[in-house]
Amino acid sequence: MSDGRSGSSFLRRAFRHRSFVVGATLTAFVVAMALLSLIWTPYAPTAINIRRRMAMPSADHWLGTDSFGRDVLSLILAGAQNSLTVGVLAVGCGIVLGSTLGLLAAARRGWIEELVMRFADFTFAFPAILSAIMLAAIFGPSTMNSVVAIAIFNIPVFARVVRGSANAIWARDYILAARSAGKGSTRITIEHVLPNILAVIVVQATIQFALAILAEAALSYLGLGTQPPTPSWGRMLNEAQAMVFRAPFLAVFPGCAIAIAVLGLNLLGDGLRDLTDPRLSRQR
Amino acid sequence: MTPAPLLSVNDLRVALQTARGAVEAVRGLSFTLDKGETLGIVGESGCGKSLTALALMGLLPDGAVASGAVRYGGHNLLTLREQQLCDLRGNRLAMIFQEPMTSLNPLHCIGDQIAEPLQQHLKLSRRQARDRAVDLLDRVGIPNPRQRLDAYPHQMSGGQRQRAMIAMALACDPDILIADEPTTALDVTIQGQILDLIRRLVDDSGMALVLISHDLGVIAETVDRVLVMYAGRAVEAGPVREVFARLAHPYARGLFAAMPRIAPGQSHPRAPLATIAGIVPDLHDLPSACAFAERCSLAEPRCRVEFPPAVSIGPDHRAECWRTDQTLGTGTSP
Amino acid sequence: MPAFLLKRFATLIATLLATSVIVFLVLEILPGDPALLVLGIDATDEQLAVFRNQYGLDRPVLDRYLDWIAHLAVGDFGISYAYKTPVWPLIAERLLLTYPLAASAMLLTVVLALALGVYAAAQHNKPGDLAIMGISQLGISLPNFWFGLLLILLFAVNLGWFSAGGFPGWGDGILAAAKSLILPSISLAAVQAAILTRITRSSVLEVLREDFVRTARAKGLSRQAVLWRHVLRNALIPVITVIGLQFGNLLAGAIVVEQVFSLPGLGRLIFQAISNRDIEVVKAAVVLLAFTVVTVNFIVDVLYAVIDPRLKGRDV
Repeated sequence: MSDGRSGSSFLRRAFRHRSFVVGATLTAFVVAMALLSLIWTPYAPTAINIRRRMAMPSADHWLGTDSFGRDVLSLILAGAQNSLTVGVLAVGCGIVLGSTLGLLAAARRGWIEELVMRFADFTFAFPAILSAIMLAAIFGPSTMNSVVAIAIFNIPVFARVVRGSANAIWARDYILAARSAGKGSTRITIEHVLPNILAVIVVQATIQFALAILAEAALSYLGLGTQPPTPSWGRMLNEAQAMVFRAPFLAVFPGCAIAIAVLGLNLLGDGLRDLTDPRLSRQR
Repeated sequence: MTPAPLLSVNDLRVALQTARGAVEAVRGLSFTLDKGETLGIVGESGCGKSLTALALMGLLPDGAVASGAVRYGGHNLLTLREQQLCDLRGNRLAMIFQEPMTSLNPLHCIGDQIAEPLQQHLKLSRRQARDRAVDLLDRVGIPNPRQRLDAYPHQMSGGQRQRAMIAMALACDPDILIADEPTTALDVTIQGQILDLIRRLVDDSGMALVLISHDLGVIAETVDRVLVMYAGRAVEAGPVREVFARLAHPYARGLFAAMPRIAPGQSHPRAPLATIAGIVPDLHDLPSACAFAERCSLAEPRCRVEFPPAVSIGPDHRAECWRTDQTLGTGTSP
Repeated sequence: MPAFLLKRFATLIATLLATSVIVFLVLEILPGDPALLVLGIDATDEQLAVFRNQYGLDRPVLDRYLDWIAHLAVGDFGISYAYKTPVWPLIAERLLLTYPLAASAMLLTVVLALALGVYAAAQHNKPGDLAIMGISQLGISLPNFWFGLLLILLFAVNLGWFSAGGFPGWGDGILAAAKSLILPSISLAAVQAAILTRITRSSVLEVLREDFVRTARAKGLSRQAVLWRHVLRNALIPVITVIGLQFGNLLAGAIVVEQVFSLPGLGRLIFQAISNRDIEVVKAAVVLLAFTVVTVNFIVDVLYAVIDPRLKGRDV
């Protein structure tokens, strides 16, 4: 693909791609929730009001109030902040560290590649929850725990994907030309390999972001991650569970928020994959 | 009149659904095949010859639709119910494919794959079918057939796999064998062996053969009659000797000139190979007149305006062209 | 044993060792002095020394590691700091819940995903396919613990068909115990089944495009017969890899879902141990879970060789 004119045609194709449009809309909605919560929420998310506990949704409290009388809508808006922050930090670490390892493996080959790949194979023995359990056992539960545990889980994913695509780029003729021109492998990696695999990294990052939001919610739900009073969707579900017989609606909204965020990112990732895959782009 | 032919294809058309709309890849093909007769279909890739073969078998890919008539045994195969087609396929009509490497199931041993049509159509037990498979492997020239029964495709060479494919096709003694580029994917030395084998098996069993190839040489030494396809139409057809003696269509002449030859008796064995200028036309915008006109050195204005007639060149030999006077040097207009 | 399996077995041993080193380093060395952690800062030097001596903490690190895995190898998981009893019986009792839960969820996942995935592929682009793809897209996006909560809302709170959680134990009849695992298994399986359905579908579709499928059709086999006899086994190869990888997710998910349904499984034990600072129990549970994941993946690779003759025959 040439970059000059394909920009506008990419956008034109993107707006016709159903998964992409739905995914981008849902994702934008969640991001907007998080941004909005920075400047305004209907009530202070942590404001406790004992007299208005477990109120049903109403004009005052659109999504009702929880067992402490906090406004559920405000909590969900603020919870978006938490989910997105953890997702950005964890996936960001995964991208930076994982891609570095993957690029290194592709550029150096030999035992370094072998080592990186064995490491990547090995980490599947530690799902994010297992890492988080170990971290919580040592340092006690915290948001940082979630970030580190999810990042650990993300590093090998990016290392694997980046290495695979980078190897394909390294096998191309123009790399050979660059090499015979005496360019070093670091320079080739930065000038030729990285720009060509950015699309792959972006697609993978979108999907990993969705998984990170799920994992963060699970960790907070278990009490290993974000701690009260910081609003988090997983934590809200944990508290809702205790009230499931008295205020069942409390269990509904935070879950919907998680599902919308994850569905949006998944669809966005699917769409981006279709749109950036040169084999598929002509068929759509 | 001669008795009714074994297979008769009448105005066969195959429409394909593509991203840029529907196109016709086979555009009104007609031919007949008698019992024991061998027919070659030759043309460049994309001329519709493989789709023709798949249409005869009722195995067109999804999105491809055939119309016209393919008559066999009193039925039109194109309108036959799927169940009846299944009863014919691998039984009365058999087919071998181009890629022996990928045309066999990698997870089943050869014996079971050859036994499958026998179990399906002759209702043999697995044991009986495997016994028959030993004979079949022997017939197609695979050494130690009983041991090879349990071999997996990845343990065999390309030539052996193609032999196994042929054994599979022969299992139920079909009336018609359709071979779609059976030797294209093989080494040159193996190609001759496989062609010899096909020829011998056809002679021995009396089945009819439809051999599809882009290689005029392969066609010339294997079949009785030839049909030259271009852009979904038969531009020239007739008995092999007759056609090769008096090539009438400029495209067929081009194919012939592009064929490497080191046969004795040729005047210029080392002459550079001729090529046909231009590329195969895009099926999306085929001209309404002669599809070859754009690449034809003999084309005149009429060729681009009016569809060429089928000109009779000799007994049973026809060509679809306005300029046969030029190609045959008779100097008379049809 | 073929070379492929030998090599894979060597990798298994290496992975198990690496896993044990990581767990040991993270949980035994990183936290600092367990004696201080358990006894608190008010403990006297004497008390600390006694504790360290009692648990062998005053010996060199390498000795302690070798000692630990030597004991692991014979099923001795050490002594719990909090309960002062051997760890293994504590864990074994919980495994009787967690393993069956993960296994039944795995079974449910595989059965659902294969049935739906193959059906969707056979109905490619028809309404049945589109419906299954839509539902699975939603399924992938659900947190399993929230799905569990919704199941409780529907089947326990509204319909009253199941209790909202708890586990009667296997002693009081297998049926009652199994019943209490139904909702947890479903909530655990739903998400994984959605993922596996999509993978099965695309794998089947890919195999359907293979040349040998056309060969099988040319033999006169019906679409159905080709699907069962030729496509399915080939399509299973990538599916099985994913099943192996999913087992890790299911085991991790089981820990979460146990919380949702208040099941006294390994997850519960781990969370109690974390709040008690009972590192020995956490260490044993984590290493056991990691070992289980690694071993299941090894078994999956062996299954590979059974399905694919190309691997079995390969003698390097």
